[in-house]
Amino acid sequence: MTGHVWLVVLVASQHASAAPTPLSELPEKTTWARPAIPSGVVDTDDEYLTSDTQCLVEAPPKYWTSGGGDMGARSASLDGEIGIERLVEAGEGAYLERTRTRPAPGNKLVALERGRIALLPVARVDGLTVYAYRRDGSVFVVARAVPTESLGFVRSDARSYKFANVDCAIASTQMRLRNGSSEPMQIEGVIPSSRRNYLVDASVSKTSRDPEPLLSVVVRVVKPPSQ
Amino acid sequence: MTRLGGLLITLGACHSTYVETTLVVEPRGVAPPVAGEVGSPPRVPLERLAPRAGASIALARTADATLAYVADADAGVLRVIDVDRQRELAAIALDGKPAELVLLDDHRLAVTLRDRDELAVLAGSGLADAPLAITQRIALPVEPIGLALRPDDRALVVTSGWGHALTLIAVPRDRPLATVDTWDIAPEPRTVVVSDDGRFAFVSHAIGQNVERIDLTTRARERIGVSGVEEMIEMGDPRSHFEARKACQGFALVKSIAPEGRIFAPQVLVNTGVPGAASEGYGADDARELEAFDVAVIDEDRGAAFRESLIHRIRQTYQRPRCALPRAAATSLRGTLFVSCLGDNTILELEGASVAPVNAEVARWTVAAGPTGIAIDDANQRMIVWSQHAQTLTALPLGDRKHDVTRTLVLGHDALPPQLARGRELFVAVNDKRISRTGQACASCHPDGRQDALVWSSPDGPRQTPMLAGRLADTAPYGWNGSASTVAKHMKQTFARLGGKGLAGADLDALIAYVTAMPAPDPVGSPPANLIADGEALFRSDHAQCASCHGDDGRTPDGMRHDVRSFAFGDKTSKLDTPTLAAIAGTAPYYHDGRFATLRELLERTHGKMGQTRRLAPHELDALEAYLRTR
Repeated sequence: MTGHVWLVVLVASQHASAAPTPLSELPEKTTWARPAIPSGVVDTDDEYLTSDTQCLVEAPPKYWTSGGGDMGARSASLDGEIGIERLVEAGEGAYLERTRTRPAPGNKLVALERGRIALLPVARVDGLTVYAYRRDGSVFVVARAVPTESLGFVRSDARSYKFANVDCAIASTQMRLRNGSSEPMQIEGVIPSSRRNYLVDASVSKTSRDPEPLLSVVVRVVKPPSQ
Repeated sequence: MTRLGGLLITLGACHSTYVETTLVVEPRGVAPPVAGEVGSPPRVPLERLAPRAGASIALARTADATLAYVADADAGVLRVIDVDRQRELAAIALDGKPAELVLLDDHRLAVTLRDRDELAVLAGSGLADAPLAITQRIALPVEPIGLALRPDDRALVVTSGWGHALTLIAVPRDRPLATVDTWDIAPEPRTVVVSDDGRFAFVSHAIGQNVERIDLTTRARERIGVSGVEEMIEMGDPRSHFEARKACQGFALVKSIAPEGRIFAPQVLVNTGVPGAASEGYGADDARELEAFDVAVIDEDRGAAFRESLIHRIRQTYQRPRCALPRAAATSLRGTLFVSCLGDNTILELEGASVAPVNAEVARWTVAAGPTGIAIDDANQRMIVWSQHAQTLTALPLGDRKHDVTRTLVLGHDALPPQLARGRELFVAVNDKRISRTGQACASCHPDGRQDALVWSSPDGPRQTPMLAGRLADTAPYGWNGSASTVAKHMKQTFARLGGKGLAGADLDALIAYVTAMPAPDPVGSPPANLIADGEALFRSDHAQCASCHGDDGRTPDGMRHDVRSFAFGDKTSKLDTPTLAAIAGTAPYYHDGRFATLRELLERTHGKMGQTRRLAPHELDALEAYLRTR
């Protein structure tokens, strides 16, 4: 046969994927330690600040990380607890640490408890690792991100603090399970090392044949969202 | 009980409603081996890499080569290409347009010939010492397209698009194939896959918003709904609202390899708008995305789609994968799904384990024009894509090898005349601002040149999409309003409604040439000749008064506009152009607003408005309907 040519083209696509993870492989047990004020927390006259590796969470018993991209202003009662979380990517494995605190007079935080939950790496791209864990019928997907907003929660009146643009170096999402499946969720963020935007697509699903629900996570580098 | 082709077949009593079919897997020695019977070439060891579902490309491996068998529909040939050595080894004329092919476990190839209403069976490998040759031809209902093997390899199911049929064919090893049974199924079936237990055939449909599940043992049919919804959020209301989206372009269908138990149905969800509310163009003016690519995920064992896979979530609009005119699909051992996008000339890789794979893009490639076939070579982590329009085969590295080189074999055959090739290119173009501002192609609403069976809002009121193929010659004026005296003028109106700037010159001529050259499909079925003759006589009679407007043969309308008292809410006029009745059997729903679901309903409910059908006795209506179905 004649009359045909082969062309050779270099393709440089940036993508990542991981095999689906059975839910039973996701860590869910929390280990608790004695109370201590987490490092990096300082108090000022009217606002509490965290370091850029920690996040503030209202109503911490409900969930850990606060979810990426929807940190609108909100209020928390002075009587309520404040959670401070950080993502630790240590040599022996990654974990999420949370300190439950309670605001106290004199712009102080009183630490109540500190706990850790192990994280399972589920996808990688461009030096970024995406992790997952489960808790209370939900699956959480977590990744490091460049903080994009100034931080803190500001006392708005005598009885409440107003959260304003929480500065959080953790991007995360929560997927609530129903009949073994969830809505598909996305996380947007910026990779700290390369400053490139990334997008995580995650969901949990279960067919009749699956022995247990499967977590699917895809992370890829994307163009910044147009303003 | 009968014996057929060495197979034991048990047929139930009531053929019209229930037939029990039992295929004994092993041949009974009635028919001699194929090689001895037809003198086929000697067989060479051939490892089948392709799945048991048909495609326009299938892979096999010999001791030292990977072969791609390609169904070249334009040229009417089966091509054999050595993927590793980058050579075309053979091209076998099939005397018809091949749609899909599948490799049998005895190394024969089964190929559907779409325009010949046949299945061709070939023996040989295509290598020099074993040239391919057709050993058998099997007649099938009109327009065979998709085919799939049962997991035990001993039976084949074939869809017939225009013939709306599924045919079960026994596949005894090394012996002639034999038709066992045929089912009448929903209109415009395309791809078929068989469940892992061999019991069910799942069939995609280009129209109708369903995937069909057919029980091959009981003949029971059920429809799996794949229409969707779009999530809407209104200002000040924290709750989500959902607006219906209709499904169309259900061409592809593919089973997951890992995890098992999922069937993917790539499709498009459209917002057709409120039929009675006039819109600026076609469909809802405020739709964020008039056509949204979607992949319905069907639980194979449950026979139902994941609801989440049918929801167009508002928060998933950020970099949501786009795939215009999804046409073919394949899956990999890695658990990913590949979809070819004919309008974009791209291949999309999606995560198959996602509850909604359309939201989980893994990778995307641009390929040569007209990608209609995908085959995955898992062992070598590569994907082979057949681009029909560009006559090009592309080998793309996957996974860990994604940074390897991409190899593209341009075959260089001019299978279509240049003007028709250009016309087809324009027909599927989604990024041509002359045609559409919103990214719609002609093929979006006219899949395969036909109709989407949907009713769209339009500036003139609700409008059912008319079929184009074989219906443009001698049917002026055009458009439901009959407002365009030529196809060119009608196109100009359509482009304007789509927000396009309009085509002119050679490109306009090419598009017109292409749409007017599209052939009408063959009539379906063969009712008794006397019934057709009676129907024809009635059609032309003063008794029924059909021919006075639709012409003596139903294909040459009077070119006039009539008020047939069909005014619908939203209509701007009550006078509509007399349509041609060519290919009317497959163009439901009927009337300009699609108010009649069946031809019989139309005949029975239009008395006095359009002909005089109430005068007809039931047997006369039978005859008239039978005649119309031959048009």
